Amino acid sequence: MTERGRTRKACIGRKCEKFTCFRRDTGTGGGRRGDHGGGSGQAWPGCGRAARVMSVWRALRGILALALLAMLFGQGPEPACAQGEACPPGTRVDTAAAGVLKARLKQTLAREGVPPRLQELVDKLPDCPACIERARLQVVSVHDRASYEAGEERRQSINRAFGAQVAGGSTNAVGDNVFESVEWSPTNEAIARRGLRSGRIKAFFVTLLSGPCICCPEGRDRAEAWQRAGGFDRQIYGQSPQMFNADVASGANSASGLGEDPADLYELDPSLTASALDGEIVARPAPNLPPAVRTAQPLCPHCRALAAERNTLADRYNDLRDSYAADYAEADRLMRLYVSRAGEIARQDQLVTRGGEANADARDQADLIRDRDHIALLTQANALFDKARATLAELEALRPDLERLDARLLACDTQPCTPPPATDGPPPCPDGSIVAPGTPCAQPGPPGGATVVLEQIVPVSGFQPFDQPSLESQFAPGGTSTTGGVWGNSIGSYSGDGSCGINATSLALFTNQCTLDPFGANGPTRFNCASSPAPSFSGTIIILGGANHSCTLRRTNDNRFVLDCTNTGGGTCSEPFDRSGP
Amino acid sequence: MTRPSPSRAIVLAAALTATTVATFLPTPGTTAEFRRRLAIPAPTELAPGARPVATPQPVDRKIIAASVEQIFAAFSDGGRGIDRLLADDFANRQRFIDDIGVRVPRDARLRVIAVQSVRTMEQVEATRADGRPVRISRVVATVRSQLEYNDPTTGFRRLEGVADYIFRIEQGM
Repeated sequence: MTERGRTRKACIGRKCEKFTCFRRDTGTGGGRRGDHGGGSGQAWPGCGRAARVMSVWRALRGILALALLAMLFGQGPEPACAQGEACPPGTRVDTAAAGVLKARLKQTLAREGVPPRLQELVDKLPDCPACIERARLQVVSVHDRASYEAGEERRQSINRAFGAQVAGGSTNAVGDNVFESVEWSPTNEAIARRGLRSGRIKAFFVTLLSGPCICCPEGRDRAEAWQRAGGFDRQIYGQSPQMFNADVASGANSASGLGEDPADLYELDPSLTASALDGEIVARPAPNLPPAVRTAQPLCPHCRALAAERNTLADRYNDLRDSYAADYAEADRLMRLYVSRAGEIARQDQLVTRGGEANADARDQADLIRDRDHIALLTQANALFDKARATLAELEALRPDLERLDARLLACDTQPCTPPPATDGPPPCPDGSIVAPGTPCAQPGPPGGATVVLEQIVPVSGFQPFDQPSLESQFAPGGTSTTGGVWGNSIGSYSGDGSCGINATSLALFTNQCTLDPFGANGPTRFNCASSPAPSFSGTIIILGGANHSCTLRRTNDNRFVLDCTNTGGGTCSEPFDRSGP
Repeated sequence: MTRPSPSRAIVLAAALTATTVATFLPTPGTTAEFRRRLAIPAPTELAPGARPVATPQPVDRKIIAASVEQIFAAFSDGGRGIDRLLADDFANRQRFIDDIGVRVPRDARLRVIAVQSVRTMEQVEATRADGRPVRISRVVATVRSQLEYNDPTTGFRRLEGVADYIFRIEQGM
């Protein structure tokens, strides 16, 4: 198919425009619409008349479109006035109709659980039906604008960071205040009251109208002025428009004017009183622990019964002290957690504004659970502090008794260890223990009823605990004996002049036996050191290669002795020794 | 009278010599050395009225072990009650008791590491003042001991030693 047209000029009124008429090829059927400006085509017979018809149709189509737009978007905020009326319908005072509407609204509020104290607000509504129909009970919280907008910035940054939208409430900033409106519920009012008490908000009100809602006055001139001023929502409060009608509101603008919370705020846990929600912290007990008490061990056996009594009390004292320390540490940990979470909750409350009304109940429930958990921390910490304080009081009560027993025990143990005077009870056993009347004391000694005593010890090697000189030399200052026998202070290393071939030896003392080791070709050689000179026990000592020698030690002083040896053939030698070391 | 012939005398002398040499010459596998005997100083006289036992009966080892534990416990307890466990003629008896209480550290503990050999050396029978017969035994026990204490400057100390403890035991008959 091919199309060719010719340009024509068509005028409607003063307006003319060129258009092109097209001719449809034969056999294709149907016409072709015109093409504006510059088009080319084959002209149809009668094209000029068709162009005029098209122009008229376009004009009518534009008018219809404008009319349709006016119908769709032309509805203004004010109801259209009836023909010849200055006030929109329902805006005039109609007491009869208003009474019916108010009664119906009260029934609705009562059915929704609104308490009578708030139902009374209905009576304060203006008597124009349109106002009553737009009444809605809501809680308006007044925030400080600076802090609220600071929270808004944080909220926006969170939105950017997490790609999520933090729900915001229905708010409006006016002057230094931000009005936040939420639907009334017992929980919402309780939260607003708590916010006012804690200083998070400046005021709160429960209101039925979010605007002034002034009825249209009588008289055409006044009605026209009412219309010019803005109608229902005209600003009747000067230059500061209110977001609610204070005439139909109940609330407070300070914590002091808040008074007691109404009893109908049933959604709050009754156990969570206002003081508990505000976080009363009990006074902490003293953090410093009294010192622990040690177990006493008396020297005198007769004081052991008293010591046992005192130690039992000391154990009780130490147990209480440990309990106090544990309770205080746990309470301190819970208190730190409580304070930390309080900061988090405050930041959270500042960041997240009230959400939409659809999830108000779920949000309030979450807030309550959060607050209950928070308060539970404080309650637990306070209980532990109370317990710790009671434990401390018990500790203080025990201390005088303990000190009294300590004094008695000290007096008992520092006196001569004599048996206590006879009492009504059974006398203590020889080992200090007390047994029940009629019960024999434990028999000391080995089994079989044998009497065993230690007569003597013979040192073999090493330290000799049952040798008195050994004890003195081990535990006396300087390692030498001070109270031993004649040879008591002679223990040590000696060097001789070699007259008997000994040269160097060491003198040890066991009971009344001296031992010289080394002793020439002999092993350790023992002498009877009960006195001086001390004879050797052996008569076969080898001296200078010859056997069968008997020797004696002659003590000169603590640091010197002389060895005299004789053999069976009459040979003798004498070698002096001087101390060379300890 | 006939005189032995010189040849027979020589044979007899040779036989005697060979027998004597064979008797005193050590044979392989039977040589032994004499151990040195260390005499323990002990009284050799019997107590008045005591009589030696024909067949000594060894003292039960449990009695000796219990006695060692008892006297060590008394030592560790600052010497409390140790005077009842020491013989009257124990060497430096009173001075020893005093030293336990004065010189030995208060926290010292004397432990029995091992009670090694227990031997009954003497056993006599006697009569008590009340007329009851008793058996008196002298038993030597080799005991390995260890004294433990905390020195203020050097810390924990332990002093180990071995000694023969000679007990006198009176048992009723």
